[in-house]
Amino acid sequence: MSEIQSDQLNEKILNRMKYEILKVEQENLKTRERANDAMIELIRRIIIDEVKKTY
Amino acid sequence: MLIKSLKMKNFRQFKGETRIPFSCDPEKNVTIILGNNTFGKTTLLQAFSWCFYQTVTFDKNPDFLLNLEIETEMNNDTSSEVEVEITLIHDNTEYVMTRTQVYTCKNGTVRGLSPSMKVSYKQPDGQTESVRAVQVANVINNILPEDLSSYFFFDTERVRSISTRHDVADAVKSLLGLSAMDNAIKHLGLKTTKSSVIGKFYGSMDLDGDAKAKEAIIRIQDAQAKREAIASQLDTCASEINHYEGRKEQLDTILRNNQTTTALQKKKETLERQIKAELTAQESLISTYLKEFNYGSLQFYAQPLLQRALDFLKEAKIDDKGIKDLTAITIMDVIKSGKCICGAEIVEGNKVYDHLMHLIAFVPPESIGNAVRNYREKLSSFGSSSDRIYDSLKSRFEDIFRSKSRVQEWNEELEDVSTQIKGKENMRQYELELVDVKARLREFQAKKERLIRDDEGCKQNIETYQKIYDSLVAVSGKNKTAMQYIMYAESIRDWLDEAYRDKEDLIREKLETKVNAIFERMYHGHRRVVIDRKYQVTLLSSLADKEVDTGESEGSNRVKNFAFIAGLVALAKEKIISDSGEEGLNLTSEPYPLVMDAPFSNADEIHTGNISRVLPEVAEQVIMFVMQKDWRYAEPLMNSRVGLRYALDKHSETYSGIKGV
Repeated sequence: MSEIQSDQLNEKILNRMKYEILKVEQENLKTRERANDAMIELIRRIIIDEVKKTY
Repeated sequence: MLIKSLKMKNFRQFKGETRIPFSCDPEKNVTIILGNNTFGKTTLLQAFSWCFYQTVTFDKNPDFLLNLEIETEMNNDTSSEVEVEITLIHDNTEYVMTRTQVYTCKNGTVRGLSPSMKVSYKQPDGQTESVRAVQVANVINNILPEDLSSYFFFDTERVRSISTRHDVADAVKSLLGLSAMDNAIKHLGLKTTKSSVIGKFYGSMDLDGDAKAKEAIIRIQDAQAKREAIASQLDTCASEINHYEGRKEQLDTILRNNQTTTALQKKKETLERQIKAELTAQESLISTYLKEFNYGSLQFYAQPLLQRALDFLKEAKIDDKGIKDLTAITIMDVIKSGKCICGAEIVEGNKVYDHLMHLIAFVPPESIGNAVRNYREKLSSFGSSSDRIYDSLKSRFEDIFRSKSRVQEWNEELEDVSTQIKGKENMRQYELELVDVKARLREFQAKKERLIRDDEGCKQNIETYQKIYDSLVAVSGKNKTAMQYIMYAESIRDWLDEAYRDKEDLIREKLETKVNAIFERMYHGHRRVVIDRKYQVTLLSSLADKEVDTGESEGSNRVKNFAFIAGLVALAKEKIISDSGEEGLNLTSEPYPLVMDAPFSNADEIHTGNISRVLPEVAEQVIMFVMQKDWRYAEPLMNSRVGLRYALDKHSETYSGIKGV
């Protein structure tokens, strides 16, 4: 597990994640449609989905 | 945020339904509502505040919002409602916010129930969606933070209250788009926060997985080695079984083909056993016979001689007057004792003496007759015993003879059987071998079954541990993936932390710069605005080489607050966060309105002119409730920016209306 280094992170994917996460946070600020748990799950999903794209 | 319209129903002096659309034209972004004192300007501002936050600051009877004329008209058990509805655009979404309070009349008294609030918004597809009741306050606060409401719904005559405000830092950061970052940081969380994104990723890892995988693989290898050993044993077993089955088949064939020989072989063996037993019995008979012969042979062989002696003695004439076994010595001893056996006294010369002396002549040694008689009797006795011995010897001899006959007969039969099976295999040996082969086969079959069971057990163990291993390997892979997620999540959180701090400082610096720039345009003097970390605003004056707080007049305080809110609104329009990725994310380019009650109150002409120029420039939308007298100064400067113009129409102290002018 230690073989994964931060410099191995895909910058493009990372930026996309940042964008997606801030976007959903901003969206949710509008309506608060999603509770904290749902937001956590949504962000988790964004990260997982973006990482999967690297495979 | 841009306010499209305000609709009031029975709100204070605005009896009935009053709807006021506001100008959203960027070029003519000012809506002016003219009205003198007591016409309802402050009530309009309070309508915004009540609708947004359910707060009002009326001096008189602030908790009673129902139009007094309506109240008066109400009868028992009737109800009326006060309602304020604001339609606005925020972040490209249209919201309708409606706060309603029902008033009921009971026993001549009208009381208001708890107000209710409803916020709905239009989705991109045009469908209207309601905000969940529990999230209404959060949504409103996101649109316009309550902490900053007194800036946006600016009551000039109560401006002093602003300076004593509490920390508005969070509200400012929220307004400037840092809430999204702040929430993202909180949601991403830390390793130690189980319910956060990062905490969950860490929670999904199985750190014991590798050790368990090693243990599982060792067990798999052990079981595999056992299986190999079992397979080898099974091969041997199968080979043995094959061998013995083959041999069994051969033996079965041999025995099947030699059933007669087998029977004869059995007969031969039986005969041999019988002969052996008979010979043993014969030996015993002969031994007994010889013992008896040795014991009785004298009588047997002396028999003819004794017969001749008896015959001779029968012919001899012997007067036998003596008493059997009585001798002369015995009589002499009796005479010497002086008393006869019968008790009679023996005295020489008496009758008894004489009789005994006479008897001596007839007994040995004086007389032989008695001895001959005794000898004849003994010969007779000897002869009778000789007969018994003869009979016994004869019987035993006959037994021996019969035994020998049987042995001879069996030997002849044995010789005949032996002749018949001479040169043929020994079937008994095959039978014994077959028994042995069958036993070995059973033994190997049992061993084979046991080995198969053991092998099955090993196989199951391998499957079980393989599953464990696979799952652990999967876990290991999952861990690796989870670690990747964590690296990304932590990288994003670190970036957000840093960006948030940077933006936080940047925002304050930029806001201070912007507020000072606006303040300079509004204030005709030499003072500087300072914004501290709580976003509280102070005016400093330069004195010698120092900047000191020289206090604030009502006018300077008003300009300071105008500058602060105008700076905030101007900054909110800018793109604060744009480096979140190559696509960029404009988090904060949101326009905000300024709703102001009597903005020029107590302002001199210069201030009024400055405010009139600056506010329509920095704010996307300006809604002003202005007295006619103040508007005279502002109108020449603002007129070109006025999109809609209204005048309050006071019908009575309890009834105002509004009309376009």
